Amino acid sequence: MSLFKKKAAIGVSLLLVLSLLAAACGDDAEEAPATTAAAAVTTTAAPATTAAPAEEDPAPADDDMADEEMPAEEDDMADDDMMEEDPDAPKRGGDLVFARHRDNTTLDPGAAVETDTIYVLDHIFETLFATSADGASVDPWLASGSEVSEDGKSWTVTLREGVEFSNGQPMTSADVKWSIQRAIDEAAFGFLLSAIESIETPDDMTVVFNTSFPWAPFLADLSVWAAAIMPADYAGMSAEEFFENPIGTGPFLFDEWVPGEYIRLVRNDNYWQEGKPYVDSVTWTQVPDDNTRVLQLEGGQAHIVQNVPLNVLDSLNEKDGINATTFPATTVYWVSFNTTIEPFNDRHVRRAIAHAIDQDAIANAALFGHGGPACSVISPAVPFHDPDTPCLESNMDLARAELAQSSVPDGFAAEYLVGDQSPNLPIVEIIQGQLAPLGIDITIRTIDPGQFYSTIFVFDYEIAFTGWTMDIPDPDQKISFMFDPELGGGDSYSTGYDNPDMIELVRAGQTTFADADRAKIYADIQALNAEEVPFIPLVVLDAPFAWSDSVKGLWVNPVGKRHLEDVWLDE
Amino acid sequence: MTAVSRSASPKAARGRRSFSLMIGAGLLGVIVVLAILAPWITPHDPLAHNLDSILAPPSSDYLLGTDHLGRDVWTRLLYAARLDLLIGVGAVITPFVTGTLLGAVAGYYGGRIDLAVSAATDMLFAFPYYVLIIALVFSLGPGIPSIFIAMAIVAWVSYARIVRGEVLSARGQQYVMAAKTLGYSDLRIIVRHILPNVITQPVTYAMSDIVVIIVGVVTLSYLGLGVPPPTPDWGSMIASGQSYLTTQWQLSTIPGIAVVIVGLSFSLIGDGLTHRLRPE
Repeated sequence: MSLFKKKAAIGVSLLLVLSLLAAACGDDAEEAPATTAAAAVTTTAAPATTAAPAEEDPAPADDDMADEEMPAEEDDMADDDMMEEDPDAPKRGGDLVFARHRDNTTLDPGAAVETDTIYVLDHIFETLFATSADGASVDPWLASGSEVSEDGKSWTVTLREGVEFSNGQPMTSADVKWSIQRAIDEAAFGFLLSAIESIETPDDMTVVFNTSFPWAPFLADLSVWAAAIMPADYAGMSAEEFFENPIGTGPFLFDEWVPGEYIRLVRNDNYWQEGKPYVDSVTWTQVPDDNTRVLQLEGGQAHIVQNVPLNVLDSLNEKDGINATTFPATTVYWVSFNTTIEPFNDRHVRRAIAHAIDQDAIANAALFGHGGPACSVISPAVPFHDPDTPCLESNMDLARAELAQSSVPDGFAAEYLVGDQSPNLPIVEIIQGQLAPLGIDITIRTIDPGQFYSTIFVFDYEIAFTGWTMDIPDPDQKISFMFDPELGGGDSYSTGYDNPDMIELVRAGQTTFADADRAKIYADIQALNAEEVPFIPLVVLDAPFAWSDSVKGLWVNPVGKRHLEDVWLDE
Repeated sequence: MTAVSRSASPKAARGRRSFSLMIGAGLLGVIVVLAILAPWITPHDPLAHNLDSILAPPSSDYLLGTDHLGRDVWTRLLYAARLDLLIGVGAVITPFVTGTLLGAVAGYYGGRIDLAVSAATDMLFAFPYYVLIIALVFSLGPGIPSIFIAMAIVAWVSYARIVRGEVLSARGQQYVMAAKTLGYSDLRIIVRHILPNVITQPVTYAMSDIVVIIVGVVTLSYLGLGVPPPTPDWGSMIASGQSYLTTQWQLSTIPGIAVVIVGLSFSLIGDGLTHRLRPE
């Protein structure tokens, strides 16, 4: 008996040893492909040039949208009987379901920093001015007009008549003064309004803002979500109580939030735009998986889905009952560096990386024709974008020459932090391949999108995949956030980049009123970034959406505002 | 049918078990040979991007098509087999050795040593296996070394428990008594006399443990905690193909099938061995 066992044991040990040998052989051979890969990747650096779709003028699409909207607004007064007779007239009712990859993080516009949180809050709270349909300027929203004094330091804003909060209380200048002061004092993006020195309220419908110096982007800054108008003193509640059940002037009221699942808003019957909103409720569901969101749309569980994978967008549009397309957007993605640590404080290192990255190849492989290569940190859809920004050429020889002048001529190892959502990871993988020939060994560290910003805000990274989608139609918001470490509110977007020349330009851009002069200043800023590259622009991207045929009147303006008060359901 | 085979002679049952051993070994053999020969039988580089032919359908040039960076899926599949099998077999060794030794010592001496080892195994058994592995890898930082450490910390308990039980019963047997009487040292008795008689149990268990570890590695890589890109691994292949599931289903499905086949072959081997080695 025991002899048999012994034999078997030897047999089994042999098997184990054999498989180990096999594994060991594998280990040696494993290293070979790594080096050949490095050589092979250089061939992909040859620029594959095709037209950049993002260069197309976004205006026509927006004009179409705006035209569709106009009749809807004029039909506001039509009664229910008339609506049923006219198939094109908006129908009231229905519960709209909007699926997205991320959940809200807060209901407080002061605390909100992520676009997906902001886009929901936009429907509860509103601002004095709002971005126009073409994304180029602001229109009066809760305001009816404004006037600036000759010295450019005093803005008189008249409020819109007949605006009530969802609790029935009329909006007055006292509410505006309190809300803007709260934003300056408490909001994460309150720095945008920091030029305001004092706020006066000569009467119930007039607010006068005095700024400490002439402030060009003032009206655009008033359109930022953080400047949301709320009832003064939280309508007598504590801040905690108020944001459990927030009161705003928006088209919808907060109803229910189950974190990680959905957030539901219901119609505000007191809304100042007569007849709107059309739908009874909007439910934003959190569906992290890209394919599941699309399947939910096809299965009828969702009406609108965002962040549609770019590779399925065109084939999805072919399907019956589904529309899938991109809306022009202001999104630019870039490589950003933690310039407070070595070797990224060395501009030669950053420039070498910029030379090694081939934006055309990235745009072609990762965006499936729904975006294009980027050169400037300011998207073409944003005012003062300079198409002639002198960007560093994609050229491996120049990259090697640049790295040779740096503190790490033979390369280095670095960690690349990326939020795990489409289309980020493939872009980072391509860059990993493009940097390998320089001896730069990139380890990709993926992180949950919800944790991404909290990680980079504490500088817990070396290289990161970040970007920006505009919230207001003026470049100052992001330019000061990216380049002014003192007043910009974000340590130069968590890069720690601190350049006195750049800061001077940023502040000149804020205090210069003439558009031609501002264009020159912002061109200088874009050129200086292209030379110093604390941010290496990669691609510009339109916003991919898909929605069922039953959804009417959907449009998304270039700063991402959804305006779901204009949407109605034909079910 | 089942009733008939149940009542059939032990010899027939053993034949059937040999059959599963043969199938398992055969399947695994093919995969191991393919993995070893990967550099010679695949026409492409597993890491080289080819951005001009991304997401290409299967063709004579690309047997299973290309992924989102234009890399050949067939090539990556085989290179991934090398790595995942290596980790699976490699990561089983430390827990096998430590578990077996600790179990033998605990079973042989009993008393306080046994109490300490048993308390440690009970404690680790109280946590769900994968939860513990994922938590450990997450706190150690993603990567292959972390996987080895996490497996070493967690997986030894099963071996210890199996061997301890076997040694407990062997301790009272005549051959051990005889060795003691002859004045052999404890070390010699455990290593030379007891372990060879009880080792088959942990060895057969190791076969199923390899499956658990490979699935664990694939799961961790799928979650972004395992093998870092661009190194090919079935888990990261499944994860990166997921975005293209509706159009290029093979990107995620084929590596998934590979995991199933490897798991099946190890299970068949373990199953066959268990019955082959069972005393009659």
